[in-house]
Amino acid sequence: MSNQVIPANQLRAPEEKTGAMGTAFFKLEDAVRWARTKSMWPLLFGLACCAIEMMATFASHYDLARFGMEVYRASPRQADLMMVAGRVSRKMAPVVRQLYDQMPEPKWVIAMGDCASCGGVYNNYAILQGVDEIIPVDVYISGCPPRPEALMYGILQLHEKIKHGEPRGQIRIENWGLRG
Amino acid sequence: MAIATPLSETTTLRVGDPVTRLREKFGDKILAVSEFRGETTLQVAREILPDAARALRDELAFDQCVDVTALDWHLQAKNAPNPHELLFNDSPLSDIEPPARFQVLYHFLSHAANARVRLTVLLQEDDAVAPTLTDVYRGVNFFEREVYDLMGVRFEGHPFLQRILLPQTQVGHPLRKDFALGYEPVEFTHNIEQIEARKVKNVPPARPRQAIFEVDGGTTEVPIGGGLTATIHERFDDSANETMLINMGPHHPSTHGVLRVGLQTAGEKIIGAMPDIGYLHTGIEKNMEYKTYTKAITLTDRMDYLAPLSNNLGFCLAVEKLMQVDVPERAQILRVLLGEVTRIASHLVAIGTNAMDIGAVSMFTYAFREREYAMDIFEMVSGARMMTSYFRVGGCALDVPMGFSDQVREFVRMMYGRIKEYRALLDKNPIWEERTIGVGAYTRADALQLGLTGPMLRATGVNWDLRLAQSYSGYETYDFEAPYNTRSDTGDIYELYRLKLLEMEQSLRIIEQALERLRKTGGPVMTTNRKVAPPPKQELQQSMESLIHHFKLWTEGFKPPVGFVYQAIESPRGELGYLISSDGTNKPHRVHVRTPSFANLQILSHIAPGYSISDLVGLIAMTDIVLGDVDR
Repeated sequence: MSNQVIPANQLRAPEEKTGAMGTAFFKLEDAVRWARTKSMWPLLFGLACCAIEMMATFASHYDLARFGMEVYRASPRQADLMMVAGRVSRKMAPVVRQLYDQMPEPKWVIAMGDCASCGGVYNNYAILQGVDEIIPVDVYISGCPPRPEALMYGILQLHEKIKHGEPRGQIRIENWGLRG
Repeated sequence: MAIATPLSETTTLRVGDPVTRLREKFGDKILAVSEFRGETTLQVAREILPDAARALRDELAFDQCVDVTALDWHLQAKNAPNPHELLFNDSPLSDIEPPARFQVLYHFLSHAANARVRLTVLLQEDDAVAPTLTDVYRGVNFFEREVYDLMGVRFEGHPFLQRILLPQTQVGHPLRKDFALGYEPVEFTHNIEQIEARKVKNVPPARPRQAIFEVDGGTTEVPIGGGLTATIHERFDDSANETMLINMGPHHPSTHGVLRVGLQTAGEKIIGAMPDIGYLHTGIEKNMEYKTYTKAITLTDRMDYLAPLSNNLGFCLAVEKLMQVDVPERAQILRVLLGEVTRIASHLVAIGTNAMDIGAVSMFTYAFREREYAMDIFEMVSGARMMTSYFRVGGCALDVPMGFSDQVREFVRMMYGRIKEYRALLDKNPIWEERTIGVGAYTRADALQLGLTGPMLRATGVNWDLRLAQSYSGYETYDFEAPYNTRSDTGDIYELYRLKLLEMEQSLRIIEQALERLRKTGGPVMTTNRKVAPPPKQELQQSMESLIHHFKLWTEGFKPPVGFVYQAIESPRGELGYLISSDGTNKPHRVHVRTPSFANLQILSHIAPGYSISDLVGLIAMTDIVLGDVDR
């Protein structure tokens, strides 16, 4: 039974329950990457308006738990994904950087919304023109604020990126939207 | 501390009274009196300012100083006529040579007389010092610090005149006209190397350099290492017990954003708490000076992001007051209707997060479930879930789509039932009761002194709602009441929760009436004043004049007359006031926003001592602050 490969359409419920689902072959790094996408722990970290949409995303209606991402960690030392949700002021910038430094490797960053991506409508003395001035960003999500669906799409793009094993922290603006 | 007459006693003060009374008392120290758009402004000599304020408080029942702000009349920035001559044309102001640069404005509100009055002092550039009013109204503490931070006017005698919004390392005062906006040119390129070269260029130091906490009253400075100092209230300085200083925030799940609180604790017990704000300071007020009036509306959304439509409304009403524009009936109804939906959505988040912070997580998921329906309504009318920018000067952006009324009616019907669910969940919940009843109790005297407004003030038994008292957008014609605490003059977390639920029910009543009126009232939703609102598309092909109006409005916008107005509305959090000063050009000379969260936050350092840290998260939630609203 154990080494026999069963076609998917012949799987039966009792066998699924016992976990006897045959054998699959992976490269170890692929398996690790796949596993990483399935239980990301985002940092519970909101800055401004986008944080409200982020809350709406993991609240009842949109339910981010479907993607295995509902365990928001308040401590950066337990998180591996930072969603910069909102505008980053120059007073806040050192704090954001410190939080990023405290997160263990591997870690990823999503710039949620226009302000975190490029400064948005505020090009002035107080606001950083994009959080990528201080930390590397993996995925940029446009919108002011992005809809919850857009945030989910951005997260799925990040999953794709991790599965494909692109070097972490390298900013690939030109192709993130084309994949998937 | 003297608190003005009890609010139950109605006095027979008239609006003109403060002028006569202050004139009698101070004679020629009252330099000028002006009346503009129904607002009384008294220009007083700097030295009598505290006495005048004290007279207003003790003799004339002006029990709140709601706002302090300053204008910079530095004329370098724009080619404007000298506003002094136009504003106070019958005043001896022209005698002052050279014209004063700074004008500090104090807005006073009397609940008993239902009146407002504004005092103003003019300050020269090289002597920009005003006496502080913190001895008279403690609530001006934050406001004066803000003026100092952003405008550079110093207040003599202020207990803790430090920067409040900007980092301590900031150079200059950004709202001065000779301070540049700080525009950073961004070159658009598809060259990936150039893009990469721009990234991660200025890594800031790993730690915030300096932070200073303060609790008003007598203070003791405590250095806590790493460049951090804290100043602690003497009242709680108990040298017999060892105390520690704890930093809470700006990254903390329960501070509702990027609030930072410096805490002095003895064990788990808090003995001193001081909010440190400004981590979300966005420079919106400065940015508005560089946008036309219509474009500035988009920035108002992003201040109080839980009640964007209230912000739109406040701004539009202020500009309409300045320009004396009439709004069509249908637009008024829509404004009321959507304003109340906003109030419900905002209170849902307030109650949901408050309950979650205390441990009732299911309340949070329920609240966000219902909030989605409100978001759907906003999306239906404006296309955006949160940042609607739906109200425009002169009316609304466009008429509501088909099916709007049905959707709102469904929302109302559902909400009545859902509010019952919330009551069943929390009203008699023993854990909730234990954690909230009597927790964070504050008195009416504190609330008035500290400038609290909205539900925070009504929880102390003050029957005051701007929708009823100083009505706007036709609220006076609706049948509703503003719930307030009738049992005592002390507010606590439970009382605020109770009032918010009642307010939501009253909002539903208003929405029902507005729906009924909307059905009966047709017509345009935008004013027909072509100097303010662009003509409809079909007119453009018929009339040359319409084409010109269209072109002028979209290229340079409208130009309100010279002057400044203050318009306050009842946002879900309290009095949201817009002071708009125009120099006759198409962009505002200054927009100041009196945000309710900013004033309401001041209560925190007064109620926190004595409670444990786990209660503090409930207290922060009780003040219902939105950090975008606090920091702007």
